Amino acid sequence: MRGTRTPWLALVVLAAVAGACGRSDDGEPAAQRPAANAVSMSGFLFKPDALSVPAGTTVTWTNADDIAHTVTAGMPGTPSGAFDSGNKVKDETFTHTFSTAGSFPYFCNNHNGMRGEVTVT
Amino acid sequence: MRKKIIGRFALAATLVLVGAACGDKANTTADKAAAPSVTDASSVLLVTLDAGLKEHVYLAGLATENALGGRKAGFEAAAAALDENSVALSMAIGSVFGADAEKAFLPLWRSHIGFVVDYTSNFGNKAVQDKAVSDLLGYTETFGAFLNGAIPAVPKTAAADLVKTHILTLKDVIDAQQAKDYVKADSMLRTAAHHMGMISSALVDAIVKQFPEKFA
Repeated sequence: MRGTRTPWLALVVLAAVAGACGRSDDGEPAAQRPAANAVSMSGFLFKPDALSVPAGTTVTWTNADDIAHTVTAGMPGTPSGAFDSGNKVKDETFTHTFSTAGSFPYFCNNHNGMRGEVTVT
Repeated sequence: MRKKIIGRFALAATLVLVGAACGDKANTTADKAAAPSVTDASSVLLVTLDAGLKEHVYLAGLATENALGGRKAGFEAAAAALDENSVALSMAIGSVFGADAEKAFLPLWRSHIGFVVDYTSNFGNKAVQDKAVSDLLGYTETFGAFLNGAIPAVPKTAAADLVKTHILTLKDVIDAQQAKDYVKADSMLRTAAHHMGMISSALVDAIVKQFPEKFA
């Protein structure tokens, strides 16, 4: 039993070191980015279209469709300016860190029927 | 409301099936043997989709004719019926591909109707009309991507081409209506409606192959 403990400890240390060195698109350590805060742009929908996160969370959107989408804060016709990914083609990602509490609706500027909302607590 | 809309398509499909059955009685024995089955799921889907897409064209033509004729009440009534048709089409899509596809389809489908309205309402404003045409052509790529995403066997470009022909045939109708050439407008309307048969056939053929367990 004693002989198996050290390799496991080494793996944990290595994982911690790798996490400290990794970076997200926002420059935040990858280990601090929750994997659950991900939204897929798929089938002309944001999935999930409603996300609730604590302040300080970075959300990542990934385009799975074979056409450009945007992640634009606000409502169609009235963008809020809080964030705008610009056109993202298939497999491209966009990240945004939500620092303040509130509700943040967003939409795709190319396909106004695509809408989502992030609620920050 | 949902039941009413589904009921309209179901009624149309049923009438076709009953008509086929009743007509069959008047045929010879050889004709009966050769008569195709219209009760299988794929045939029902084809009838439903075909009826819905052709209804879309005729209602769109009715709406644009009323709009160009300055008949506001007529336009609004036709536009309301056209939207009922859009909802019914989205439900037909959902019946095959699920709730997410239904949810995504409806706003996409409605958007191209909006561009058609923009075109129809701006014969005196070339810049706005040109933008509407540009939006409609862009829409063909969008809807092509949507169809390809739902039905991978239908290439994005092929789906876009089918939608493009729909757009252009409908534009021919509107242009003829604007010119008050009603003979040409109605002839173009039949052409536009018949083209929808190509779309429904292509889609159902691919859908049946994609979901053999549903349409065996």
